[in-house]
Amino acid sequence: MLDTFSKKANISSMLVDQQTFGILTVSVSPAVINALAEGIPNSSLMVAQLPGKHNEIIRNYNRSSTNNYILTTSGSEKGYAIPSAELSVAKVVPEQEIIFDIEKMDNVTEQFNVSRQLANRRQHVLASIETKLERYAGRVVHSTVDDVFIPYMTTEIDKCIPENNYYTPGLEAWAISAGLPVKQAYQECKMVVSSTNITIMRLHAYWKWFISHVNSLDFSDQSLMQETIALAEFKLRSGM
Amino acid sequence: MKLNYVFSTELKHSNIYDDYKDITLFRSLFNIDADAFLVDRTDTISFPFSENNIFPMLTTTTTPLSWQECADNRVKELVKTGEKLYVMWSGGIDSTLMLISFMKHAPNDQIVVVLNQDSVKEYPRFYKTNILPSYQILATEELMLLVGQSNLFNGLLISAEHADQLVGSPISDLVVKKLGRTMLGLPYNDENFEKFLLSAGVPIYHIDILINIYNMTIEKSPRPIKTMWDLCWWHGFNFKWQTIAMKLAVRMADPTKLITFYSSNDFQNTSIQQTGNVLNLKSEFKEIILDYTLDGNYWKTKEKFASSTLYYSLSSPAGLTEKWDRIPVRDLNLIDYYNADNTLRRLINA
Repeated sequence: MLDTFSKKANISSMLVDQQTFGILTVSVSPAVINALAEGIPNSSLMVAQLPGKHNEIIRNYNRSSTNNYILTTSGSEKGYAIPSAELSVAKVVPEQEIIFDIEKMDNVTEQFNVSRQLANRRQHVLASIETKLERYAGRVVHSTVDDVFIPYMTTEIDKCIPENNYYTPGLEAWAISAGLPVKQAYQECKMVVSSTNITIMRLHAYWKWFISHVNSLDFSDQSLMQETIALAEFKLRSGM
Repeated sequence: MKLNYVFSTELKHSNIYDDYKDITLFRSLFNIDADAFLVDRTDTISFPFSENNIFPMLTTTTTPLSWQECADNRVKELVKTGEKLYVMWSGGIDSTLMLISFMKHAPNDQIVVVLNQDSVKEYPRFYKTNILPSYQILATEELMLLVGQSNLFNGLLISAEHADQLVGSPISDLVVKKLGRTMLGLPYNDENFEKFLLSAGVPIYHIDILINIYNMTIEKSPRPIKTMWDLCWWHGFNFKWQTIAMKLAVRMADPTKLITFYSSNDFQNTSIQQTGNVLNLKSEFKEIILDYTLDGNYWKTKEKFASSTLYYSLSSPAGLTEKWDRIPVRDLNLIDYYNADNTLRRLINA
C-alpha cells in the first residue's frame, strides 16, 4: 500500500551463502528468502539494489545452477556497510563504485552446488505457496488503505464500550463519513476488523507451518514439489 | 469404534490402501463426490470405514407442506428453545431464505446474524437494508473461533446446510456438467447411471458393484426413484446427509449446539414428496426471498454458488468418533476404523 511510494527499481531479494558470499537463489519476496534461510545453514537474506545491466542475470538466475555469482559490496572503508554481518553478507571490494554489485563465482564447491540446487527447489515451492497465501489474504483486502485502517480501527473498537453508548471520536468520525448511525458503524467495523485479523492470523500460522514443512524436504523427487503445493491449497481451504 | 465422520487426504489422493479392494472401490466414489464419507441412512449397506448412522431414514411421511411453511415451522420451533440463535448468513439463496424466515417470526434480540465481508459482497443490498439496521452481527471467523473452544459459546448455531440435499444438488450439477440437463429428466436405470459414472471417471470395473449398492438402498427409499434427478436426490438425501452436518460439527467443541436449518422433519417430508422442477432447483426459494425483499434483480440474476469461506484456513480435525471425540489429523489411522465385514467387500467376494 503506502510502501508503493518507496519501491525502487532493480531491488532483489537473494539468499546468500555466508562463507562464500555466493548467491544461492533469488526471489521477488524477502519473506520467501527468510524462510529459506531457516532451512539452509549459514545463509542469509540480502535485499540489494543491483545495477540494471544485471537484470537479465538476476531474472534467469534460478533457471540455471551452473551460472554462479557472488554478491559484492564496496565495504566499510567508505562507510557504506559493515561486512560479514547479518544484512551485510557480501564480499568486500573496496574499489567498487556502487554499494552492491555481483561478480562471477570462480571456484564453485560441490557443497555450494548442492545448497544452490536445494535452495532453488525450495524457493519454487515456497514462492508458489506464498502466492496462494496472498490469494487467500486477498479475500480480506477491501481498500488501498487497509494496512493502516485495520490496526487503527482494531484499537478504536477495543476502546469503545457499546453497552455504555461510548464510541471513540475515531469511530464517530468514521460513522459520519460512512453515513451510518454510530451503533451500526461500530458493528460493521468490528465485523470487518475481526474477520480480517482472524483470517490474517490463521494465514500467518499456516505460513510458519509451510516453512517448517518445506524446509524438512529436499524435493529431489519433482512430483513431491507439486504434491506439497497441492497440500498447501488443501490446508488453506480446509484447515485439515 | 465407529465414526460419525472422517476426511482423509491420503485416502483421496494416494494409493496406499490399494491392497484393500473394497477401499479402492470406495475411493472411486470421490469421482462423483469430493467428500465421500457416505452413510446409508437406511442401514441396508455398509462401507469400509465403520460409520455410525446418526440420522436414520424417515419411515413414515405426512402431508407435504410448502417450503415457506416448512421454514416458518422450523423458526417457531427454534424460537421456543429460548436460546440465543446464531444464524449463519453467507448471502446465498439458502441462508437468505433461512434468515428471512427468522426475520418474520423471531424476536430481533434472540438473533445474532453471523456473516463476513464475503456475505456482504454476495448480497449487499440485503445486508444494508435488512440486517445492519436491525440485528446484532458477528464476524463468521470470530464465531468459528468461539465454537471451536469449549465453554466459550452459549446458544445454538443455525446453519443453512441440508437445503441442497432436499432438492438433489449438488450432484445434479455434476450430471448436468457431464451429460447435459436433459439427463436429469431421463429414467433412472442401470444404463443411464452407468453413463453418468463413466462420464465422471469411475473405473469401468467398479461400476457394476456401485450400481448394485445404490439399487439395494433404493428399494428402501421413501420416494420412488424414477428419474436421474431422483437418483441425485437419493445420493444427497440418503448417503450425503450425515456428511453435510458433520463438516461444521467437526469444527465445534460441542456439536450438539449445531442445528442445520433445513433438516427438520417438515423439510424432509416435503422433500420426499416433491414431484420436481429440474430446470431451477432453487426457484421456489428465490420466490420466497422476492416476496420479502421485493428485490427483482436478485430474483432474476442470483445463481447458486458455493459459499464456504467460513472454513478457509480454519484448523480442523480429520474426523469425529461416534462419541463425538475429535480425531486430530496427525492421529488418524484409517485402518483403525476398517470394517472388514462391509457390503462392498462382500459383493466383491461374491
